[in-house]
Amino acid sequence: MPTFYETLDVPTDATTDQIKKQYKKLALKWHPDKNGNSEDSQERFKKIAQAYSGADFGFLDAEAIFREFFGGRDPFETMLGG
Amino acid sequence: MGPVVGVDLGTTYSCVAIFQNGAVEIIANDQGNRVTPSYVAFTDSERLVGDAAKTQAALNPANTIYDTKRLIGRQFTDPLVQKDMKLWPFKVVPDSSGKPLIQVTVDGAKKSLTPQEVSSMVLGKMRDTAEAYLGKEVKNMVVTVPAYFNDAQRQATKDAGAIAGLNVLRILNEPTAAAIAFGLDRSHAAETVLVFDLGGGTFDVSLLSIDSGVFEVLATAGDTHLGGEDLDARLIQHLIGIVKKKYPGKDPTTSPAAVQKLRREAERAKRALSTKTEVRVEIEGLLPGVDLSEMVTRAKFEELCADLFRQTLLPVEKVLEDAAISKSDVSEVVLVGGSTRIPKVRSMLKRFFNGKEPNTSINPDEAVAFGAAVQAGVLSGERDKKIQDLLLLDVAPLTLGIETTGGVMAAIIPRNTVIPTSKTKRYTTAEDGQVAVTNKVFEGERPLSQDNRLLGTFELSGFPAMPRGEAQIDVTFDLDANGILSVSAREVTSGTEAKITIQNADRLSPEDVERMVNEAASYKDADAQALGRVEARVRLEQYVHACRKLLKDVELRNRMLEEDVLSATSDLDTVDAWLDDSGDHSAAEYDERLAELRDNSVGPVFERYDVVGQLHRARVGLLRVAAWRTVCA
Repeated sequence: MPTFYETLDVPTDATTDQIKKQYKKLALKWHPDKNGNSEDSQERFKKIAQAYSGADFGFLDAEAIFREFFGGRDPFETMLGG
Repeated sequence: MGPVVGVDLGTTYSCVAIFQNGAVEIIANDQGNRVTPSYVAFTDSERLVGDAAKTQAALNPANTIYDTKRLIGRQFTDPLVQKDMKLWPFKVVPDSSGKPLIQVTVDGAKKSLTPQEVSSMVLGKMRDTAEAYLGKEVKNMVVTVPAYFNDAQRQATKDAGAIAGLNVLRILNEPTAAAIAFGLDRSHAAETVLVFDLGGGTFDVSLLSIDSGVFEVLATAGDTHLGGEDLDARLIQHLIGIVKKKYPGKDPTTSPAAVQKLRREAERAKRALSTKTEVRVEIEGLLPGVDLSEMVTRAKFEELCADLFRQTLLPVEKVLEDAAISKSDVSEVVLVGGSTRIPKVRSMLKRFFNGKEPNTSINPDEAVAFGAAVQAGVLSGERDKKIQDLLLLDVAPLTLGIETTGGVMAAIIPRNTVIPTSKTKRYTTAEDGQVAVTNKVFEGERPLSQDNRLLGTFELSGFPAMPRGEAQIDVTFDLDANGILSVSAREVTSGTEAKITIQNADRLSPEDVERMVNEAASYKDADAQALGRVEARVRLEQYVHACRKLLKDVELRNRMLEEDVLSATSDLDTVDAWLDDSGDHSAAEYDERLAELRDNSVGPVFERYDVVGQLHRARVGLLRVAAWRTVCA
């Protein structure tokens, strides 16, 4: 599982502004609208956007942290009724 | 793929535009109008769409359909549908699954139409307008919807396109489209823009960051049932109250034609009050023996609508809060939608933003179609330097999730998440030996699922029995760039899969769509005839009106023999009565009547008094007036 720094291709000490700029640059490159809606671009864009949504607010994706801590299993996983 | 046009499918008016040769062109319809009423009417022999349908609305109220955007993707029992129905002159009934159907009478037989079918007719009209202008077949469209439209409303709008035989390349959010119109030619450093879009029937607010061609929506909020029509309704209720008071025992609401006349006059008064401080509403013969003549002031109008105006500030507050942006960080407040011409709306916004003047640089009626055309250019791969670096990053307007234990809504995609997106969450079983789970998918912001909107239900079954908590069920939500959801589920240990696109009562099945496509095609020939007929009728009406105008001319009247005045008046009355009888006539019949008047009755009478020259001189002006009057008569 790549870290969000890796996904966004920014140094770990990047400022919020740098991250924002990089996100827009990557979005312009990988958004499905700019790539004939290819499967590959959809996957890449979703990953980039997801990483950024965590970075945007100054913290890492909480789920990613849980995944690292609990080996891929959400400790708060919820029960579904039949 | 051929030309791709952008269409603003509005509650009251629609607009079509195309991006070509580096510029956007708004395409005028066959009447020369840049916006087309979202009206569809059925007469005994044909279907009318657009201007022709709206023109004859007061004559044929029960078979003239509008406002379908207020029905699309909703249930019949929706309180808003129930409320709107009270003011609609056409009939709405529920189908077997609780969806609304619009009922009209064609050739004496009842015909039921889904809102999707009616919208498809408007989209078809916009396509025809574009094809006539471009001289090419148009198969692909970008269609806009309110940003706050939910999953069912988006899907239904897409279905409307399919019924018209169109490929809807993208369902685009209206305020985002308007933001493109605002930002396309603006060379400006990065800025934060709030789009305030108050249209005929819906209201959206979106907060965007615009930075060198990238339009990033930060947050969106709105009300899919708030717009100019709700303001009209307040004015209509006010006028009804006055009539009832002045004429005890008379109730205009019992006559669909009277309500239609009130609607038309209320809309006109509202528009006038944006530039004047008072306006007189006059309707002669609203009901038999009932004339309305009432002065309405701007202050009164603002008082009648005060709560609705106030309501528009709530979404503004919400987007600022969601995006954690303060008022002072908003560099422009961009106005879109006809209702933003209202002075009160502007002054309220100005006050809210501590004195910042709202930006009125874009055309409020055309901006959405303009932006849709630009996005159409982007999606069709148009090579143009203006759009090669242009990108829209839009968001989901509503939180999507599933119901978990205790009826709690578990969010899977929170609102304002960038789309397209997919999210997977893992769940487990609640009971020992459970071999199936039922998932209920909801959208909305309330913590308990019962307070949100149920999108659909699906079952994942066939995985092996396990103790409670052992099964691992991955539920994946996939939200596409149109904001339309599909859901799949998978039990990980056994690999059991269930993939569904939300199929609920609000969505049409592919078979439904196909049947409707075939029906739609059958209207094509009839439409061509209809156009000729309407034009012939308007010619006759204009002639009659011009003659009546002449007869009111004092100078001429004094020169005329009384018997000539009487015979001309009586001939005109006969034709008017013939026009008023609800039946339809062919184009040839209208033309025959016109020829009869012109060549054998009033024409020769006027000729005797040498008014032909006079008529010619006045003709242009008169016909303009006449055309307007027929629209409004």
